[in-house]
Amino acid sequence: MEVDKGKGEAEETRKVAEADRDTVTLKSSDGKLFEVSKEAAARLSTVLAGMIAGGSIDDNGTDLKQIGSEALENVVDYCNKHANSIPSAALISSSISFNTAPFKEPEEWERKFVDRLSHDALFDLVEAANFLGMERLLDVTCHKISEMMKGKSPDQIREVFNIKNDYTKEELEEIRQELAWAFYDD
Amino acid sequence: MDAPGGDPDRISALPDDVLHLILGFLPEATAAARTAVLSRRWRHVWVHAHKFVFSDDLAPAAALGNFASFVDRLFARRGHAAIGSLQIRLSHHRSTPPAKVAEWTRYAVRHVVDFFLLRVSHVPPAATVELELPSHGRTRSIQLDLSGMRLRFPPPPAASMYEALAELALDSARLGDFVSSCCRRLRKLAIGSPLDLRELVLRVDALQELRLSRAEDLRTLDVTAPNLRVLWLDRCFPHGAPGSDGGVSGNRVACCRVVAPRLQVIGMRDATLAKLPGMDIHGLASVRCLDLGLHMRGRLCRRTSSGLWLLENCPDRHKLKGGYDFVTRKLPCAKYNIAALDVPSPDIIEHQQ
Repeated sequence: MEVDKGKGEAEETRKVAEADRDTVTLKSSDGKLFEVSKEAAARLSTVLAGMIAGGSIDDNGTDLKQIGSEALENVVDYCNKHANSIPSAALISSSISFNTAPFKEPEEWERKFVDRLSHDALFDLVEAANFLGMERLLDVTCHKISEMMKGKSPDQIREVFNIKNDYTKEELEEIRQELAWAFYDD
Repeated sequence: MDAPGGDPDRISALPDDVLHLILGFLPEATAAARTAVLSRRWRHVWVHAHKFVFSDDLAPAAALGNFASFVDRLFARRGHAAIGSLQIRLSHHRSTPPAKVAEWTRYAVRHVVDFFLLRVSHVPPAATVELELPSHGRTRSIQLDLSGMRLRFPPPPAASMYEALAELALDSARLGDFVSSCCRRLRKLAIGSPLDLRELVLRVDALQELRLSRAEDLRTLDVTAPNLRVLWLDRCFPHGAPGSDGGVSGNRVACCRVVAPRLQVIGMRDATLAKLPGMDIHGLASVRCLDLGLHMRGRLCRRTSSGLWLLENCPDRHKLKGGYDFVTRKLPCAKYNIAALDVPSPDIIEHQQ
């Protein structure tokens, strides 16, 4: 997916009219270039959609200084997988069920996609999705993080995420009193 | 997926917005609230989670007294900030006085943007307890399961006051006027076990799906919904409603009229419906799927099946393309397909187990 281009080649790219291309080139903070389908980018990212509509896409590689190459590769990978996945068939019988929540559980491929990420790569991807306004990717990655918290005590959560407890004992006791209901099974 | 000792704390570095989203995915508000003790960074974050589920279900009796104040304090801290989704599930009447439930409901329909569910699964101590909906609401989808608690709707106003409401599920209501006059954008309506629902008159242009179950007091069902796609009736109308040849007048079904030219799916679980004299469904021409609880023994029995009534009364059945899906949920689950649609007789319905 990564496209390393020489300078001359990049010059060529510049000449191609924006409207003729069906991909956009994104440049990570460490200078690596990635191509992604313009359609998928515009559909999945409000920020990229805005840049495409506003003509501020640089054919040499639109600078995304906040996103490292590993995270950007995951973003592009997600866009491509999303474009290729067939949405669950809307059977007539499914219209009988009553919709209770707008959030759709991650699909199998989305689960696998986030499960294979290292701890750091997951957080890099959350930040990238947030920066690019990729609502679905942000949902899926945040859902994964919530699963890492689920069913755990505060001590266990601190351990998983390396959170330093900077409360005094008295402060902790005060919060527990205030939120007594939340700690009823302690 | 582990973060060994020296690693930085990535999660605490995320912006609040993202943490609100993460906490909203936790199964209960208590789990979100417990993050307040993680560190000072987390002290107030949970208060603005996107979704909350409150439930007094699993708590020991001694703790129940803390439930209402927990919810109250959260709402007070949030003030007028919008809530994405809110679910309140009450199993113990000792945890929450009815007046409190009413107060939370008023708060919810004014502040919840997407989905609000209230489920009261205990029988209220006094049958006279009423829940009154406020005159204005901003919620897109409301589901109220009230276990006999009465629901009072605001008097029909001149204009729609629940502008955003697209889905409504109720188990107890006298609501036709409310829905017809206040909920112009309602797309799905589900009513289950309503108390004293004798008449339901609906005029909602946007309505696409109507599900009505255990409405055994119902005498009049009069629906005009040009965009209705799914009609699902389960145990509606009094049992043994008399036919056109007369009967006890107090038990009479006055009217069962549905005008829905775009109807596609009809589901029924009520055999007596076949005999209703006033049954009049305009819109059978576009029906593609029948989902019926039929009494079957090898072959369909004509006399007990509302499904056959529907087939026989389908005016344009000769023009239909494709097939009816004819599904019965009676065990063992079996599927019946009608191969030749221009002959809707029981004989051609094949059993495809």
